[in-house]
Amino acid sequence: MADIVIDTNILADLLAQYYEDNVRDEGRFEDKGSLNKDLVRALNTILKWHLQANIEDESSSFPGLVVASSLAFVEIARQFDEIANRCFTVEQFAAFIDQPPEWFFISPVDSAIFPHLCNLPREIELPNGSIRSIEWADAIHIATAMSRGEGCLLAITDWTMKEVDVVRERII
Amino acid sequence: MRTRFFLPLEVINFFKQRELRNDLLNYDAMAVCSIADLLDVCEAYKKGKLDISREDLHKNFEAFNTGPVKEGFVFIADLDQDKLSSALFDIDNEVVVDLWGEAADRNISPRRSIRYLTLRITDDSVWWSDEVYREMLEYHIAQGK
Repeated sequence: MADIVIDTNILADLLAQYYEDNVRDEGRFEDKGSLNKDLVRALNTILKWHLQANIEDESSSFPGLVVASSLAFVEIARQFDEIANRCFTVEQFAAFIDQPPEWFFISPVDSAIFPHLCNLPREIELPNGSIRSIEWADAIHIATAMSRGEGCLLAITDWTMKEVDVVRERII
Repeated sequence: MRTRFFLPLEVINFFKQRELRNDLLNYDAMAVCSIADLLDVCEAYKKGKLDISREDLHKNFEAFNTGPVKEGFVFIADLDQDKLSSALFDIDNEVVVDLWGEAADRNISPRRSIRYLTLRITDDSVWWSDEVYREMLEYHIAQGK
């Protein structure tokens, strides 16, 4: 099993497809926007398993969950009109949070991420030698992924984050 | 027992010196700490504001959990799915009317949004008084933010 923690931009694109393209009915994401091919393949594996109710089939191993920090939802809310872009409504957004699909988990912002947050560097050195700070929100998404165990993958739109050692091997 | 806002400076002071104010130690009050302020300790550490080692940072985190939190002096208000669902929206008669504008505001920092959401009095499940939220707002005014 490998949970996939997604960041705010990917969550926004996932929600847009979920409500616009009837992922609920067809159970299949497409590679567009910030959802790349590898990520979509992994998402669809998770969806397929849950939609086919493989829970009762002991030979089919649990593929994990799609996970977003509650911070990702707050970030969407802070710029709702711009991010939702009429692809989903406030009511749909609220409904998703209230009752997410079985393949999705909203990870709390709680003290469990504290040790992982502390272990992240404050800055990263990019290949061109420049130094960049890790944004607080990015750090929370990374710490959330780290708090979910070694196998957990991370889907993040800011590719400079792959310069962080603990992130590189998890990025999808 | 009175409930009050656990000031960001108090969180920092605990991590620096393991100190709590007397009103908590005397059981005159219980403090409610937003998870945003606890996580902010990591930022303070990385910026060199704590003047302690990484090892002590982790030790003091454990001490915070096994001391003030476990003993009931301080409660950490997290942002989990239930809290997010009830606090992020204006709800009228169980119907979502809109986003809650106080937190859903790009002109404030994300950590301040988290602070507002975690401390917001939403329904009967929030057991602390509205003094906590009011004191948090006063803190922001005092900080000139």
